[in-house]
Amino acid sequence: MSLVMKDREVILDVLGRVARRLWVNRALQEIGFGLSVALFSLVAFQLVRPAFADGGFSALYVVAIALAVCGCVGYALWRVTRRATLRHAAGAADWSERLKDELKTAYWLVTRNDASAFGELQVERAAQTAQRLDPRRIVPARAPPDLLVAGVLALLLMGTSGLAPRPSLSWDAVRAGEAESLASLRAMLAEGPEDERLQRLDKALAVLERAGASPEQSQRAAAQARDAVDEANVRAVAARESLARVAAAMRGRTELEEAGRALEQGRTIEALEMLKALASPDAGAGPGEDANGAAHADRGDRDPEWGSEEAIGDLRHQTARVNEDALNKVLKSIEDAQNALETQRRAAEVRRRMEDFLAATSQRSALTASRFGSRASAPNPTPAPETGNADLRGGTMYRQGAVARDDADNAQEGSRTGAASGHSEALELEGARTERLDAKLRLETLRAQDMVGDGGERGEQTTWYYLPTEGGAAKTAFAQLRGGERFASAGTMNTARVPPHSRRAVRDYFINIHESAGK
Amino acid sequence: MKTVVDRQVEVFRDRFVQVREEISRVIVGNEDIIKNVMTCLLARGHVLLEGIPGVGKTKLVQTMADVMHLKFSRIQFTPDLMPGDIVGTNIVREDDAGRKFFEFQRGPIFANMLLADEINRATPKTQSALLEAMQENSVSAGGHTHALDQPFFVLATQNPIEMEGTYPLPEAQMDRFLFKLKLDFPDVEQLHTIVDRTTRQKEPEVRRVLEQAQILEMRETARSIPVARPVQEYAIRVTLAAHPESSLGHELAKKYVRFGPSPRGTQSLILGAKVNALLNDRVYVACEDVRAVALPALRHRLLLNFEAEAERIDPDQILNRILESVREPEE
Repeated sequence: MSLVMKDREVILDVLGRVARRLWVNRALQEIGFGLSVALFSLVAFQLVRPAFADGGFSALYVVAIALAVCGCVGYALWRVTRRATLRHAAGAADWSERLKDELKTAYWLVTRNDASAFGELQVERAAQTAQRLDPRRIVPARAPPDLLVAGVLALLLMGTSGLAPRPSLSWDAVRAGEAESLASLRAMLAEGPEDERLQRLDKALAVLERAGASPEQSQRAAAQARDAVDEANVRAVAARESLARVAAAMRGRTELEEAGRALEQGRTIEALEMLKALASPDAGAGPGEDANGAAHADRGDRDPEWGSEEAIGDLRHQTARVNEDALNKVLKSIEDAQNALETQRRAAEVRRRMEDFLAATSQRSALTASRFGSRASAPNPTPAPETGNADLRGGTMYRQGAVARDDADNAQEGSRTGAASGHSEALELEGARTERLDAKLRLETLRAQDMVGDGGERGEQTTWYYLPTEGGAAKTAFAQLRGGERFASAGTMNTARVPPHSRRAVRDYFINIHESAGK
Repeated sequence: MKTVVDRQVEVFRDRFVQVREEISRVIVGNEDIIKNVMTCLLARGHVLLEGIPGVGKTKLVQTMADVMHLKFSRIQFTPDLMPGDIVGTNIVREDDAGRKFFEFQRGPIFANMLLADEINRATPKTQSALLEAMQENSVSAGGHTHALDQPFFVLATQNPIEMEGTYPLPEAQMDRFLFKLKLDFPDVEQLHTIVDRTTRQKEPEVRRVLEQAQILEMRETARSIPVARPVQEYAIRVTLAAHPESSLGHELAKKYVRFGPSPRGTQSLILGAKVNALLNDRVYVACEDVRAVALPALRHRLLLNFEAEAERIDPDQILNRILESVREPEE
C-alpha cells in the first residue's frame, strides 16, 4: 500500500468513527425529540381532558393531536435513518479541534483523487493530524437534552395519569349509566298524563332497565316501546286534526270565535281558559272534572277524534246559544287532544334519548340504536311499494322528503317512489299536499270493531293494520301545527333545506300525517 | 515530491518575510498594507492604495521597487495626461539611408512595477488606457499588440479627500484591482519613528532581496494551492451576500448596496486566500484565509446607493456584518 493510500485510509477510518458517533448522538437526540413531543402532547391531553369531561372534547382535536405526534415521531425516525456522512464528520472534527478546514479539505481531496503535489501533501499532513485525533473527544457521548426532557415528561405523564380522572372503561359503569338514564326516562313518563301508551313504554323501559334481561328480551321490549311511540304519534296526529276541526266549528259560533282562533293558532291552553270562562259557574271545578266516571276512565284510550266529532256535532246543531253540555264536550275533546299531544311529546323524547343513549353503548349492547328505531326493525325492511316501506338506509330523508308537485305526477309517483335509486324529484317540503308512496300506504290505526262494523266498545285492545289508503291533502297546515309542538322546531319549513336536527321531526310528520276520512 | 513541495512552501514564506522586513525598514507600521500589497503582487493582481497625502503611499511603492529587482515606472496622473503618455506612441524615425519609418516609442507602462500616482486626477480616457494592460498584460498601439514584461504590477494611489478636479474611477476599472488598501494615519509612536528615520542625514536603505524570476516562481506556487469545494462555496456565499438582488443577500446589502461584487470579486477572494494560506504554512485554503482578504478584495466592488452615502455607511461595515453572518459550511 502506497503512502498516499495509507494516508487516505487513515483519514477515512478516523472520519468513519467520528461519523458513527455522530449518528448515535443524533439518533439519541432525535429519539429524545420525538419522545418529548409525544409525551408533551400526552401530558397536555391529560391536563386538558378534565375540562372537557362533559363530552365537549371533540374527537377532531384528538385526531389532530395524534397526527401531530405521529408526524413528529415520523420525522424523528426519518432523521435517525439518515446516517452521518464522512463530510459531516470531517466538518465536525474541524470545528471541534479547530483544524481550520484541514480534514474537510483532505476528505474533499481524497474523494476527488487529487493527484497534485500540493493535494498529496495536504492529505499527508491531514493524515498525521487525524492520527492524533480522538473521536470520543470530538463527539463526546452524552445524553442529549431532549432525552432528559423526555424523561421529565414521562414522569409528568405518570403523575398526571394518576391525578386526572380516567374514563371508565368497565361495562359495569356503562351499565350503571344506562340504568340511570332509563330510570330518569321512566320518571319522566310517570309525570306525564295517564296513558296506555306511556304505560307500555314504561313497561318496556323497565325490561330494559333490568340487569338480567337477555338480548332477546331487550329486543322485544324495544319493539314494544317502538310500537307505543308509533301509536302515540298516530294519536297525536288525530288529535291535531280534531283540534283543527273543533277550532273550525268554534269559529262558526260568535261567542266561541276568539277561543276558536286561539285554538287554530296553537294556543291551546289559552283557548281552554277562554272556554272554561264561558262554562257555567255551577259546572264544578272544571269541565274535565264534571264529566262522569266512565268518560274519565276511558280518557286514556279514547281517540280524541271521536270525542271531537261529538262536540263538533253539538256545536253545529246548536242554533242559539251554546249550552253548557256542548261546551263541556268541547272542553273535554280539547283536553283529550292536549293529552294525546303531551303523550306524543314524552314518547318522542323517550325515543330520542334512547337512541342517543343506545348509540353510545351499542358496542356492548345487543339493543342498538338502529334496533330501537323503526327503520331496521320494520316488518318488511325491504323498500317496496307493496310493503309501504320507503325507508332506505342513507336515503331515508331524501325519499321521505319527496312530495309530488301536482296531480299529474300521481301516475309516475307510484313507480318512481319505489325505486331504490330514488329518482323522484325532491320538492320543497309542504304540508298541504303529500302524494308520496308511504303517505298513500301509511300506517293507520283503526279499531277492530270499526273494521268489522260492530260498533264495539271503546277501550278494547287496539289492533294495528297496514292498509292502503287514498292519498289526500292534510287539512291542517304544518305551519299551524308547528306553533304548539316542540318536535317541529321553528324554521324547519322556512327553507327548502331541512336542518339536521329537524329532520326527524319532518320525517315523523310525513309518516304520521293523518287525513280525515272525508278527504 | 513532497519534500520539494515542502521546500517550495518554505521558500515562499521565507522570501515573503524577507521582503516584508526590508520594506519595514523604511515604511513605519502598515504591516498589513505591506502584506496585502505583496499578496496582490504574488496573486497576479493590482492594488489601489487610498490614503490622505503624506502617509507614505508613494514611498511604499518606491521601497517595494527597491526591494525587488524590478523595473519601476512612475506616472503622475494629471488632467492633461494623455493615453499616449502612458502607453507610448509611434514616432517617425529616419534610418541611415534617409528613409523614414514609424517606430513605437514605449511609454512608462512598459515596466514591471508601475506607480500610477493620484490616478483619479486623470481623465477617464487616460485612465482607461490602463484597462487593457491591467487585464490582458498587453498594450495595443499603432495596430500592434505589445506584451508586457512579467511580473506586471500596477499600484495606483488616490486621495479620498480632494475630490475637486478629480475623475472617480469607473466601476469597470475599479473591478480590475485585486485589492483596495486604505492607509491609515500613523499613531504617535509611528510618527516618532517616521520623524527619526526621515530627518537625519542619511535615510535608511533597503537591499534587493527578490529577483524577477523568484517572484514568478512564487506566483506559480501560490496558484498551485488547492481549494476544497466547501471553502470555495464559502467564498461564493460571502460574495453573494453582498448582492442586493441575491436570495443569499444580506439585509444590509439589500438596503445599502446598489451593485454587488462581480465574479472577479470571488476570484480575488480565492487568489488572496491562497497566498494567505501559504503565509500561514498551509497548503490548502481555509475559510479563515477567505475572511482575511475579504475586506481588501471586496470593498471597492460594492457600489453603494444614495441612502448609504447619506448615512455615511462604509463598505467595510457592510462586509464585516456579512462576514459575521455567513456561516462556514458544516460539511
